[in-house]
Amino acid sequence: MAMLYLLLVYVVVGCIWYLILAVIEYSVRQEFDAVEIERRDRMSQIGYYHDQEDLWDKEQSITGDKVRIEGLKNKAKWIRQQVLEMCVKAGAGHIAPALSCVEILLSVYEQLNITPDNRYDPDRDRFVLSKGQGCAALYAVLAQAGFFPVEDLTTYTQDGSYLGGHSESNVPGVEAFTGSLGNGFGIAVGMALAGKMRHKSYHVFCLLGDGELNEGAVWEGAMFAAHHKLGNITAIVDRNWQQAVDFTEDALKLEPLAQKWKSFEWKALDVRDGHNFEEILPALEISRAGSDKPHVIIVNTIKGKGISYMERQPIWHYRVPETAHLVDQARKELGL
Amino acid sequence: MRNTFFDSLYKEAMYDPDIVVLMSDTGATVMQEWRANRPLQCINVGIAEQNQVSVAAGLAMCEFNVFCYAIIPFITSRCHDQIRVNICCQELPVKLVGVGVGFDYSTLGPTHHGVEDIAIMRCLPNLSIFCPSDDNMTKVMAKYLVNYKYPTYVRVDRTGTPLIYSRDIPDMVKGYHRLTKGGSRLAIVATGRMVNTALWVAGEIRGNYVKVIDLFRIKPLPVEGLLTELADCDDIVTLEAHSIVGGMGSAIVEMFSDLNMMKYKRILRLGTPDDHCRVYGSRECLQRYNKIDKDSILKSIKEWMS
Repeated sequence: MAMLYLLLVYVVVGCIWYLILAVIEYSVRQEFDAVEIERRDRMSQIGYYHDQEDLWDKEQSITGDKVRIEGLKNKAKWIRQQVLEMCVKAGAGHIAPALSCVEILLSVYEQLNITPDNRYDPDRDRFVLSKGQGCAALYAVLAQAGFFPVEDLTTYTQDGSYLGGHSESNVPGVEAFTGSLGNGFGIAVGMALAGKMRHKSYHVFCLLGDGELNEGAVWEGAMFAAHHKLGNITAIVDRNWQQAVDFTEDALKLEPLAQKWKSFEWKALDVRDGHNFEEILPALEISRAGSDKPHVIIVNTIKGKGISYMERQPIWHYRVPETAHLVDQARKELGL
Repeated sequence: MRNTFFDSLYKEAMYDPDIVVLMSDTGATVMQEWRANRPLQCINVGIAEQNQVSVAAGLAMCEFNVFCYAIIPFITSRCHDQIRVNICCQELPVKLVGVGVGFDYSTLGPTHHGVEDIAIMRCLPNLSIFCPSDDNMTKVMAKYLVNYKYPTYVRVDRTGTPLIYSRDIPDMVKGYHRLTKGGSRLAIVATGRMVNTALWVAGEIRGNYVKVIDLFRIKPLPVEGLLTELADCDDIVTLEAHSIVGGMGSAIVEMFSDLNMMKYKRILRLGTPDDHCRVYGSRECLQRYNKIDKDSILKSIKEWMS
């Protein structure tokens, strides 16, 4: 009887203990949910600012370009697959930052007058990848354009390879050595100044990460470009709202970003969906047309675009899927 | 020295539109003529040295011959990353001209003292470091650097120094010059303004029997030439207006150490102490305070010799 009584007490105490645990867990989860809801709210607001002065007629500029855009979409798919395979093989690399700028890179290379044959021509357009960590995508774009053999992509960050984790100017087609954030933009500004001083007609494009805008050197360059009226430069901001550790607005607030650039006397354009060629291409065309002000295009993108578990997850900034399950899922989602 | 450098460069720039000077809001008087007559070749980038070096890299990548000018700490420490990545990694022939060697800006405090520059620039691969010792050499050096195809850092004095060279300016390619004939056990290797002091000290110690070497290219070190000159010297003194940590003296010691010759040599490194100088006054005062004035140096060497 005593034993039974003891067992009963034991069960009751156990139940109460689990009840307490459940209550604690519930309250913690509530807190987490509140943070998550706030975050989702913020994400849902992404892209909802508009630059009234600089609206353009999107419909008009893309008429008749459906075939070209289909081609670009296929290329983008191929590049995403390459980025994943390169980084998985290497066991290292910035996958998510590369995936967010695939469409931007392809659109820019549509605009540039560069081919593997004229890459030393002083009159060529220039592209500087200031967010050097996105180079896996750039390498895939360059290989696809014939700057170097596609097979070389498999050597990415392997022993002795010339393809590394940050944009390397030894790679055919890469203009500037970048990876130290904020520096590539200054170089691009210098190139634009050179173009103006020599009365050349080339245009300089520079892709910056949004987290990169934390660097003070970027704003030194922005001030300089506006002061010298460098209309031949376009800065493209890959606005994926994330940086290495946090969401940009949690780490160091960037908004109102377009206004910041405008107050530096840059013309600001924004692209709501940075994975839609029909929005990026016309913006690039507009920025290229003559002006005495430099242009910035703020392109809203999704970091890790294409792989569902990476999308908008800061933890995936510099991480490669380790388990076979995750790799398979990523391959499946990218159509491999 | 600074004026001589830019006057000499200006004469070259008159015929070469590719020569561009980027100044970061320094040198109002020295650049007056440039700004009046060649405004497109002399750009004030504002107080923004990081951008100055990045823009210089961009211009150099488009075949411009760029000279960046600022006070030593700002053109070396402030934008070190830009120099390292944009200039040195890409091997661009940008020339960085730092003004204010040692305690040149003596009244402006340690923010403006140029005493760590050689140390932090010497470790950058591909970068050459020059340090002229008088106005006549500076004139020739500026011309020489116009056609020099490597990343370069030049440290020059703000003011002129007593002339050392009159007619025979040494060959810039050689990297060093022996100033005294003859020589014996003791050699003084000096750079920049300190060459003058070295000559005075040499006169005080043993007349013409002290070898004085003007080392005006600190990197790459003219190893073979120095070895020939210093082969029969057992005692070597290095003298520089720079911290004793990592400067020219350290480079000389490293050279002998790498060649396994340290057991034959006794080396005394003289320079500013490993400390910030928070005392103000004239340059001479600060040099006295930091024991790199003529008398202190003479005393240090004599003590060391005995």
